[in-house]
Amino acid sequence: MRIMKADRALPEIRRGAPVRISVNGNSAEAYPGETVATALMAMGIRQFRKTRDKGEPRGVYCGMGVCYECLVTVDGVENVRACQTCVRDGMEILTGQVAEQ
Amino acid sequence: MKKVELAIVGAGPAGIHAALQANEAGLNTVMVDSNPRPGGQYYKQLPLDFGGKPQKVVEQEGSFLVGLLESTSVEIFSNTLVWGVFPASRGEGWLLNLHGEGVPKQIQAHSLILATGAYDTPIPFPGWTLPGVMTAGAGLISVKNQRVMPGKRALLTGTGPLQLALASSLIHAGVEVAMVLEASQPFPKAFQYAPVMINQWSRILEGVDYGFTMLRARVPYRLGWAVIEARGDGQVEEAVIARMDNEWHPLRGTEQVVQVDTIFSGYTVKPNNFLGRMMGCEFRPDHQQGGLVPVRDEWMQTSLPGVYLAGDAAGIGGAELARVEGKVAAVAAAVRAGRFSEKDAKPFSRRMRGQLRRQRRFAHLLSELFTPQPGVISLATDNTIICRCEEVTLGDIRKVITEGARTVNDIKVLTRCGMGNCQGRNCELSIARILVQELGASGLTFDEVGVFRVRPPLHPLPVSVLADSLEVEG
Amino acid sequence: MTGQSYDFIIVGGGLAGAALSYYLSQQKNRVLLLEARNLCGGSSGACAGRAQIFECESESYLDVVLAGFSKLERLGEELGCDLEWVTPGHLSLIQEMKDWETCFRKVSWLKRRNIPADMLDQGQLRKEVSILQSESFLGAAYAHEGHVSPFSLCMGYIQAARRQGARVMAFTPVIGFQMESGRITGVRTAEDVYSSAQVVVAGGAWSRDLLLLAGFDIPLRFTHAEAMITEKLPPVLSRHVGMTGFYETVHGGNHSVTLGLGQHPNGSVLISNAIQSATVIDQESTFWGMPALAKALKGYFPIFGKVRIMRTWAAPSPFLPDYYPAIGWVPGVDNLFIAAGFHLAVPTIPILCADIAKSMLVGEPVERIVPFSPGRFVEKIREEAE
Repeated sequence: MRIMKADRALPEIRRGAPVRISVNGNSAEAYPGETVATALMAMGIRQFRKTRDKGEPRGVYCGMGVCYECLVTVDGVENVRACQTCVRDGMEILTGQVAEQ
Repeated sequence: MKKVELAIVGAGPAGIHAALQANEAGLNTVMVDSNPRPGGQYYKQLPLDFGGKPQKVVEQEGSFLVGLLESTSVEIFSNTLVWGVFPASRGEGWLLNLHGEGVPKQIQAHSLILATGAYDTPIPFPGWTLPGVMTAGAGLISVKNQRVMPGKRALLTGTGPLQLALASSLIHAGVEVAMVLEASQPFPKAFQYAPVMINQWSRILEGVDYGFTMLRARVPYRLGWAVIEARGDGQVEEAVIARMDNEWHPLRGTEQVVQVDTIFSGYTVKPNNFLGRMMGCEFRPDHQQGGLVPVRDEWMQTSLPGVYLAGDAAGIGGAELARVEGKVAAVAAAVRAGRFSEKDAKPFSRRMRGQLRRQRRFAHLLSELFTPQPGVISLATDNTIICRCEEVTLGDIRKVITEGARTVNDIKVLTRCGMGNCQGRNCELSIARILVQELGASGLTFDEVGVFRVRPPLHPLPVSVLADSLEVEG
Repeated sequence: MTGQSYDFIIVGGGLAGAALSYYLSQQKNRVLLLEARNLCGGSSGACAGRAQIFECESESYLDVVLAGFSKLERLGEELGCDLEWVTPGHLSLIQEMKDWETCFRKVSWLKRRNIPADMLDQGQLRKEVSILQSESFLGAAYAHEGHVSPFSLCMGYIQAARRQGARVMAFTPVIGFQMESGRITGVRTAEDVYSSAQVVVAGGAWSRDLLLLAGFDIPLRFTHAEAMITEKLPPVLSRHVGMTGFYETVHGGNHSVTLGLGQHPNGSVLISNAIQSATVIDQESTFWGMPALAKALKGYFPIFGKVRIMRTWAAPSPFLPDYYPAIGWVPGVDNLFIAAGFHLAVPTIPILCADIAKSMLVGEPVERIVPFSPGRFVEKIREEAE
């Protein structure tokens, strides 16, 4: 869920015009400035992938590009860090893939 | 080949102030940062596309500084990674290999300031890999920067004042905060540091503000408690919490179960020193500081001439200390470039020394009160994943220890810990703690377990990026 | 604690030192192994783990390699550890006719000994290695080959040695030798002195500096070799693949790349070698080496363009002038044994180190190691002087 409220601790922002992305084949909306991780979390998706050997679910852990847990497939490229990738119009995102690493 | 007098890696408080100082000294400077905008974590800027104006003091400060930086002649390469650094020929400084859109593949810099900051200390416990368990830093980014709810009902576990900042932001965002757990028992120890706190008014006020937010929302704050397990099917559904003793071992029999969908793990931060280590700067063991601190002189220069390390990457000290260290490093680089003599720089150096001392005292206070105790590794059980990338458990590590592994590197080569995507950033410290936990009785200490060898590329990179990286020497 | 005395002191904790610690401690002998840095941290830790057969330059050395290879096949069981032994085989890619003839000869040596080996033409090569740009190759030579984890092998030997009572100390550099009446009686470290009936130097590229401490200058040289490893991939390579002339460049090249690659059972592909000449030992990756290796890889195996490199490394690759090892008592020095410069180290170390242990216990060199005596360098130097 996106945070829509604002107060002195969370100053008001104006999200721009939404862009169209696709997540696992389904059409969705996201806002410029958001990362892929944000777009997925806003849709309630927190399980981004399953591990290679044990098939365990993983998602965002560090949020800043250090842990490599939030890996998704973006526009056909695998093992992309969702928290370090900003959404773009027409972006195709796949989650739940068994990452190669 | 682009040649500059100074390259600064990292655009957080240390990097920004170094850049501003270098610009003032007239140094031809480039700044390289892996984020979309300067600011690092502490001054993280709202995405440009979000519009919005900063309101709180730190945010206004950050916005002002970033604006100031962007108005100087310092060239900023954002979204850019430094993946390798090599000595330039004929002692002319350093070759930096860069990876980013629209930036040169290699630049040459006479001096280098490493200001690579810090990241949340990963603390393993059963279930910590479940979606819904994330660091305090990730929580702050989600809520403040990205304006997305990371969950509906959260529990915070960890140590240090940052947890209060996160709790407060979550409450403002509408996330239900079930409890905030502080693993240490800072009182009465904290009282002996009262004199140090006297100069830190803005910080005290911040803390009071967070405290009131939590009070109004009736969020319980428990001292000496921590999450010992995260449970759920596919993601977090509940947390098991327990009391901790003074060495941070959980006390059996005190367990309680709390229904939450999100757990924030905020056990302070550790220096992001991989770049300095990769370059071969000399470091010495310091377990309290996350493993290593660089050997530096009073000008922030490392054991490599013309290479300076400033800010949290050299040891956790906070934004104010980072500011001072960044400035000192930049002046040192200016002296090295011949902009002023050491004699001219002496008054500046004297002024900075006092500030450094004050800020280091405060950093020391925080570290004394809120550093995770080595016993925290006892939260992990045999089935707990230690190396997240390679899915290696504590049981796997214990097995190779019985088979003769004695150092962090022995564990690496026998279990593959540290050979995955994060290149050991998130398991190195835990492995050191495990070795001391298992072998400490026979005399093994933290200083003897060693660290991973850091090698280029600084992050995993496609073959084609490496293949195309040689520029023609110009 | 001074005055500790042993039957054997081994200087060097790589594959050779580890193997020696095991074989020497077998008869209840008191053995001490001293390693300057971390165990298996030198060239042994940087190697691909290949138990190569094809790269032998002579039939006599081939017989040594084959003896070692069969010992290696049973070694995991003997040591009670998992060496991750597999037998992917090796393809030596041929670009020039003269190399074809050399390969043909080597293949026939192997066939005579019932070792699986064959020549492949370009069409057959393309079928075997579909990911290779095979147009520039005449074909390849196939030969049986094994693979181990060098770390498991080294630690396996060391753990077995420990179980037999050997003492192993890492991070303990030897800084000098103890001498009594001109005879080596032990070693000195920064903290201590250890005495021993016999001392063996198994220090890889570092052996030359060690022997100089005893007054002998052995012509042990080394190149600087770089390698890298990819992320885990689905199976793309069932055999180890290498360009011919691999060892010529490893031991003689300067700024040259001889490509060799093999896929580990876990999916990562290990890629070597970018070579530079060196006079100082260092284990740093260079700004030339990784890009050069990456470029060569991408040129011959285009699918690797998007594959991520996880890490790179470098190590000295030691060799003697005739490319055979130096094994034997050091001439002109009383009571010092050298075991270094192992060529095709992984398959030869198990058999040669067992021979060395026997030689040291009995006092007479086992026949197989006689040709590798360091005395052969003294004779050469004397010849040149005359």
